[in-house]
Amino acid sequence: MLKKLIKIATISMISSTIVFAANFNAQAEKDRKAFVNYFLKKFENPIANRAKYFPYVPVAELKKNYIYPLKFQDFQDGPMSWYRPAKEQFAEINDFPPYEIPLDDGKELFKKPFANGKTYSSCFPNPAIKQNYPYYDVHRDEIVTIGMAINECRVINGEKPLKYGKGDIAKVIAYLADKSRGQKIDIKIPSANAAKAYEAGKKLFYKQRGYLSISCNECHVQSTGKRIRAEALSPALGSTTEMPVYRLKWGGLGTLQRRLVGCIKDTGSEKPKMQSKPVKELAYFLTYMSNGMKLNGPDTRK
Amino acid sequence: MINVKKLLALVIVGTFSATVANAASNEALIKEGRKVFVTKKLGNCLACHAVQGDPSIPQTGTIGPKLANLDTYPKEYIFNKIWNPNKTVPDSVMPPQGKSHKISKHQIDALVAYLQATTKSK
Amino acid sequence: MKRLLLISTITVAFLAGCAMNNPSATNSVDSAIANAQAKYNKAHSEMVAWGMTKKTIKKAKALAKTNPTKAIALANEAAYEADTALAQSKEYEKTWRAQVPK
Repeated sequence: MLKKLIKIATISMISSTIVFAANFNAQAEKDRKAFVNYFLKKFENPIANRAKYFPYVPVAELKKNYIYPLKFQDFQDGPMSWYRPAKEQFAEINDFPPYEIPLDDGKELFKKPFANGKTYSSCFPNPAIKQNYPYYDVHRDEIVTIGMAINECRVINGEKPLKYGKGDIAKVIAYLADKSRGQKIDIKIPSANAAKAYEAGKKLFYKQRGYLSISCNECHVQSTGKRIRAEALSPALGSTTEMPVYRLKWGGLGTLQRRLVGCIKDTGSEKPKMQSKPVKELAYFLTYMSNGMKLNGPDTRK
Repeated sequence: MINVKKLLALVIVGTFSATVANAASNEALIKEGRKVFVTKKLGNCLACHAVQGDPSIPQTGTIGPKLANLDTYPKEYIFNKIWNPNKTVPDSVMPPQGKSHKISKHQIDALVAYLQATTKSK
Repeated sequence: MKRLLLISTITVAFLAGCAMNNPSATNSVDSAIANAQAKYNKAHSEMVAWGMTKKTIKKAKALAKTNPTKAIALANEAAYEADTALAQSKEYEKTWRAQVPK
C-alpha cells in the first residue's frame, strides 16, 4: 500500500514538473501573439481603421505616405516599414551603407589573434548565433547578452573587457550579426526565474516613468505609425533585428543596450547602466517579442 | 469745475493707457506662449500637436489632436489639462509638464493665452 | 516673576521668529539637503529617479554655505521631484498591466 502511494506520488511529481517546464513561457507566448497581432491589425488598413489607430493623422497623409498592409517580417525595417518618405530616404542611404566600414573592422577584430594566439573563434566557433541572444543561463541564473559573451571571451583569453555600447564591441557584434543575418530570433524561457526576468522586462517596457511620465509602449506600440515632430515612430516589433545599428544621430554603430538606455533617458529618467539587470531584462523581453523574425543587422537608422 | 475736468481727463487718459498696456502685455504673453509651444526644451508641444490658425509651425506631430476652438473652453480647463492630463485621463500619453515642473505656471498661462488667441472658433 | 516670564516669552518668540524668517540658519539648509538626499536615494534604488534630481542636489550642496536661501529652494525642488517620481511609480504600478495588448 505504502509502496503504491509513494509510486503515485513520485509519478505525479514528475509529471507536474514536466508540465511546469513546458509552461515557463506560457504567459510570454500569450503576450507575444497579442503583440504581433496588434501590429498586424494596426497596419492592415490604416485608412479603414483610422478612428481606432490613427485618429489624428490626416487622411491625405495616410493615403500619400503610409505603406500597408504590412506582413510580420516587414517590421524588421523600423519606421521604414510603414512610412514611405523614410523608406525612400533610407533606400538611398543604404546604396552605400554607412555601417560597412565598421563591419569590416569587426571582421578584422574577430579574426585578429589575442596575445595568447587564440581568437574570438575559440568562443564562437559558429558565429551565426546572434538569434539566441540574450539568453537565460539557468546555471548562472542570469541573462547573458551578446556583449557580455564577447567580454567574457576576452577575459578568459587574458584580454581586457571592452567598453559597452559603442566602438570595438559594437563592431564585433556587427560581425556576428552579419554572419547571423536571416536567422530567426529564438529566445527561450527555460526556468521560473527566467519567466520572472521576462516579467520584469515587460513591466519596464509598459510602466510610465520619468518627468515626461511616458513608457516605451506609449511611443513604440501605441504611437507607432504616428509622427513625433517629423520623425516616424518605429514599431517595437522587430526593433532588435537591426542591432547593432548605425545611427546617423550617433555618427556610428551602437548596440541594443546603448539604444535602450538612451530611450529610458528620453522619458526624463535617470539613465540606467548598460548591462545592469533591468536593462538586460528589458532587452530579454523586447527580443522575445520578435521571436521568429529574421535578423537583419547591422542596419542604418536615423 | 476746472479741477473736475482735469480729473476726468486724467482718468480717461489713464484708462486708455492701461488698456493699451494690457493689450501689449497680452500680446507679449501670446508671443511667449508660442515660444513655449515650439521650443523643444520648453513645452515641445508641436512634437504631438498641430495648431489651427498657426500653420506656419513646421513639422508638427500627429500623436495628439490638432488644437482648435480652444477659446470655447474655460482658461482653467486648458491650464489643468496642461498641468496634469493624467488627472482626467489616467492613461493619456500627454506628459504632465506642469506637475513635473518642466514648465512653470507662468509659462502655462502663456500657452493658454497663445492657444486661445490662435485657435479662435470664429 | 511675571515680568521675567513675559520677557523670556517674548525673547523666545523673537528668537523662534528669527529662526523661521531666516532660512540661512545652518540646520535648515542641512535638513533640507538631507531630506532631498534621502528621498532621492529611495527613488534611485527603485530605479524611478528623474534625470535632473541628482544634479539639483549637487548644486544645492555647492551653494549651502554661500547662498543658503537658494540652496534650500534647490533641495526642496529635488525633494519634490523624488517624491513625485515615487508617487508616480506607485500609481502606475496599479495600472501598467492594462497597457499590455490583449
